[in-house]
Amino acid sequence: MKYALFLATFLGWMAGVQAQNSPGSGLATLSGTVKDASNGESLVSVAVAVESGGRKSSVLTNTYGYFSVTVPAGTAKVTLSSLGYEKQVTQVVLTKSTNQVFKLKPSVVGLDEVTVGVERGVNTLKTTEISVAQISAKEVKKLPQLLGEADVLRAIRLLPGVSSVGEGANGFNVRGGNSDQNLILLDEAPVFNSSHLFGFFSIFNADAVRDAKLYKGGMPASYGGRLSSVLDVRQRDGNNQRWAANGGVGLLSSRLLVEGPLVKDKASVVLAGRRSYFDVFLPLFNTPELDQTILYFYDFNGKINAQLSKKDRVYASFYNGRDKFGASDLFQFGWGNWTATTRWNRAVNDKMFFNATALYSDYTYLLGTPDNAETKFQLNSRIQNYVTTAAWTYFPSPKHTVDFGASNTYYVFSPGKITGAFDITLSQEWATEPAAYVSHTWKATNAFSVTSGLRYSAFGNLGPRTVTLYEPGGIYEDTTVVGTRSYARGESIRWFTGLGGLEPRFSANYEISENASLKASYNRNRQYIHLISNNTSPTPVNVWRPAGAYIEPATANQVALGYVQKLARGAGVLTVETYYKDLQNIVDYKDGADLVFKDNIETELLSGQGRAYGLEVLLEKKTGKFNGWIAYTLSRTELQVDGPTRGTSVNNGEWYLANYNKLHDLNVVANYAPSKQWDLSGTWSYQSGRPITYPDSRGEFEGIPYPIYANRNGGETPDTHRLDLAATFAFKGKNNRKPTLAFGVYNAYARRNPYSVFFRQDFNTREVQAYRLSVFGTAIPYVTYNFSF
Amino acid sequence: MKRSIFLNLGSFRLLLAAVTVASVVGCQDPIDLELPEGTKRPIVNARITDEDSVTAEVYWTASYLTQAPNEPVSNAVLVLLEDGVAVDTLRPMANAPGRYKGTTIGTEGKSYRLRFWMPGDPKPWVSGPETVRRCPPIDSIYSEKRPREPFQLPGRYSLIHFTEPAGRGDQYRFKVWRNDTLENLPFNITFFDDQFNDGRSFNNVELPAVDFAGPDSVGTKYRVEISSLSPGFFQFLNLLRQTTLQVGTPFDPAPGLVVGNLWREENPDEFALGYFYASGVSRASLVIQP
Repeated sequence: MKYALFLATFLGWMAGVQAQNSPGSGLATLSGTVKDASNGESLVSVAVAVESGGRKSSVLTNTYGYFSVTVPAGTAKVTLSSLGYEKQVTQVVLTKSTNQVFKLKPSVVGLDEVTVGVERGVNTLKTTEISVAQISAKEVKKLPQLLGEADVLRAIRLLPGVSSVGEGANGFNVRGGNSDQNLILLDEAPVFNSSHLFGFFSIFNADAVRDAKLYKGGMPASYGGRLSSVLDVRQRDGNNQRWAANGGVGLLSSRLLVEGPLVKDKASVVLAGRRSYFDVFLPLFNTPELDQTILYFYDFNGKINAQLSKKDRVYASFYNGRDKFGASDLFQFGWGNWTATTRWNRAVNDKMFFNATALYSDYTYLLGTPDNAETKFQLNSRIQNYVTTAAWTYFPSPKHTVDFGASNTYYVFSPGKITGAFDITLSQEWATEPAAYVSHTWKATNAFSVTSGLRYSAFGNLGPRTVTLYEPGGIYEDTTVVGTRSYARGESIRWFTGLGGLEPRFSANYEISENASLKASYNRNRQYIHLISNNTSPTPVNVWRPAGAYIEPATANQVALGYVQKLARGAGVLTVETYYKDLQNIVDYKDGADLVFKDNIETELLSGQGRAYGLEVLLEKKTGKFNGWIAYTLSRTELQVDGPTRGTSVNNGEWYLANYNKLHDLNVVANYAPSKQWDLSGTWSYQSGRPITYPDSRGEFEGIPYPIYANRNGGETPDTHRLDLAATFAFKGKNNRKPTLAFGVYNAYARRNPYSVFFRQDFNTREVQAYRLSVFGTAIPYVTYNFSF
Repeated sequence: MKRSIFLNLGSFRLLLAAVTVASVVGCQDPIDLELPEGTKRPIVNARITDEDSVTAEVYWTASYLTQAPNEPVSNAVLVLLEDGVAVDTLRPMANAPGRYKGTTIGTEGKSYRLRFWMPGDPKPWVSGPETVRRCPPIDSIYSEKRPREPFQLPGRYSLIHFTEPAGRGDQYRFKVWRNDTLENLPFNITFFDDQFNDGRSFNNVELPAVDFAGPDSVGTKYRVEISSLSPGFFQFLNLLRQTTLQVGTPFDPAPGLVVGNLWREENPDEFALGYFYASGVSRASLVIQP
């Protein structure tokens, strides 16, 4: 009934759109693209305000830098503003609908110059966006770095509502969601492992990245497939004005980017690469075993784009990155992502924008012995995605914007294949996930706007595959197996359709005044694939498995309320949000689950529910010589797995805190530019301890004492805090070609922050000692020389 | 090829975690901590094999931080059931507090359970059923001399050959006595299943022999036991090893409650600790020769 009510309401809104789209209104549409004047790259989220005939309309450019605004015909005043660019005000004569390219000049940060830009919150004062954070590569590069690598994910973790289980942990957690509940996109391609070196660095080369946008809630209907967040990372398009290069040489890694016009103003190319060289220094330890140790990562980014006509633009981009680790004649271990994206943008007319995308994403890991080993052994695992998407944005009138589209994701899961001394292959799984969506943004009044959307997704787990059958009762164990059933290629093993696939999305904005607005959102998300990992932090060898015969899709419902206040006298923007999230059918694991190379993985899994709630405060000042932000999060995340038996329950069926629960999370980020040569930066982070399970008694089995952990996550690690400092000195040179020396220190006061607390027992004397494990036990300095020409 | 690859792929994860954590600038500092006191529960570790009569150890759980051994229970009553029929009552062993022994030797294919009463508690506890499963013989045991190589010290290493019987679903445990002392640290808890080697021989032809010890000097004595396991006991050992070895690092699973197959007969949610298991066993011994 509630879905029928929603559908009726939605159709009513669509009727409203059509009614206001009647001809003869005396309106004209200004559409176009906003670009960076220095390199011709499209600019995202530029605020475009158009005043004409006494009416003022404002929009933000989309991810391709495109916008469309319809106002009364006449001479229009167009104002464009974006963080890091000079504000531009121009007059455009709009006697008829017009398409135009606007170019913004980057602002120059200097002693007597004030950066012109807008805080994250300002853009959202007038839009229905809520729980969204955008961060540019330029911002990321200013922040203190670990071992000299500017890191998008590390910067994201400084925002409210985003955390991780600890320093060096793989992935991140958003509003109580597990790390596999984040949809991480690189040029629209899903990335299945976003970290290098087990989580110390992200796979995103800051040189090649334009910006990253994180949706913690209020997700647009165009996104789906994960429960908790979307991190949409876009690669740079490349300079279509002149050939240029930049790079950096650090102590442990170096990078180089080359870009330039294939056809000036029309087509450009960008290629970037990084490689670490930790292994080069290992012989210095004078240990024969270390001499043969392999430990490095590399990645390459590339992109070509071309303006085919005034209306058409095509893009092709790729990413290839890999980590390698091992001892040359004992074992080898490698993992990495491949993504390839092709896109076609078309301005169908002045009110309709179209994008078609076809992409491929591939994550593999390999572990085993070298090819020349005495007995060869290799384990390969892989997940592949083939995604096709068609999306339209329709701007029928000043008050209405409609987004709609459809997509299909085809998955191939190859969880494991062993070759060498013996050959064994875990059953592959195939699945398809079709989805369609429509979303309507309605500026009901000057002060009130609402975005209502509906996404529908389905999921089919397909053959060929032999599925294990179990006794009735829903308990999947080796002892309840009763047989198997084989499915032919393409045959449906299980389809998830019906009303459960509906994902309504809603967000609203009410401007209380010019400088303040209230926001609200609701979104329902569904996730059909799960990262099978019972580690505190995911590892590269964890595999993804789809919903299927015995694994249900997970769902999340989230409501959020927000308040945005632009402070007086340029003091910044204050954003306060609160949220509640309900999670269903989330995957958990039996105690002692053995997840490595397991075919009928359902025998190791449990299903549970979760709830997360919190308050987030963000005070940010992005302009001026002194800028930065303060982010505070108060949150709680609880899980419950209450199965029919003790073996299918966790914590005796009682609610328990999630591993990544942190009551308080405070991050202070400050940047100061005292002169044209110097840029200083610092971050200070404080987090409450995370939950941990302490033993409450001791058992003994055949002479081996062992701890008894009866209360899951009933304890807490000590609090953590850390100061990072950075400075950048710019040598003399032409604008944008100044070499810089970046140096700093991570963990400046060398605090040994606890990652975990564990116990070690002397098995002879039975003496037990508690230990605090710190991933970083000292201050870690870095220095990087950056160049550009 | 190291046996760890064949015996348990989880060893890779251990190696990975250890090397990684050691390779960064991490550190471990001893700290003082107070722990909550948990519910006092009985612990019963009992076993029956096709070569040995039934034995049991009975204790109470202890405070985790105490150095005192778990308190043995000398006046418990333990009854063995074979295919549902009581066949043996275990008797306390002289000079071994908390240890009990019966006279029944297990028979392959038969199902066994244990029913027991703790002192002063009239309500019985019971184990889940355990079946004595097949266990392959050890075909040969020998030592060989190896040179120094990366990650390998020079010396004499001890190995066995055996053939895993055809038919999936077998699990095994591997125990080693060195100079008549059981190697009994958590790291020595070794078990494997036939997922990768069903019906194949560990004979250096089909699969590498299992090297179980080394390097050692001439004259070192070894005794080796392979025993068959039920899926439940396999899972118990897996959890026991995880809980005692894999704790604290980012790559470790959340610690689990090591619960076996013992519970209050009238209320399965009330559990005791330990495990009652039944096994087929094969044994071999070796003295390293020059």
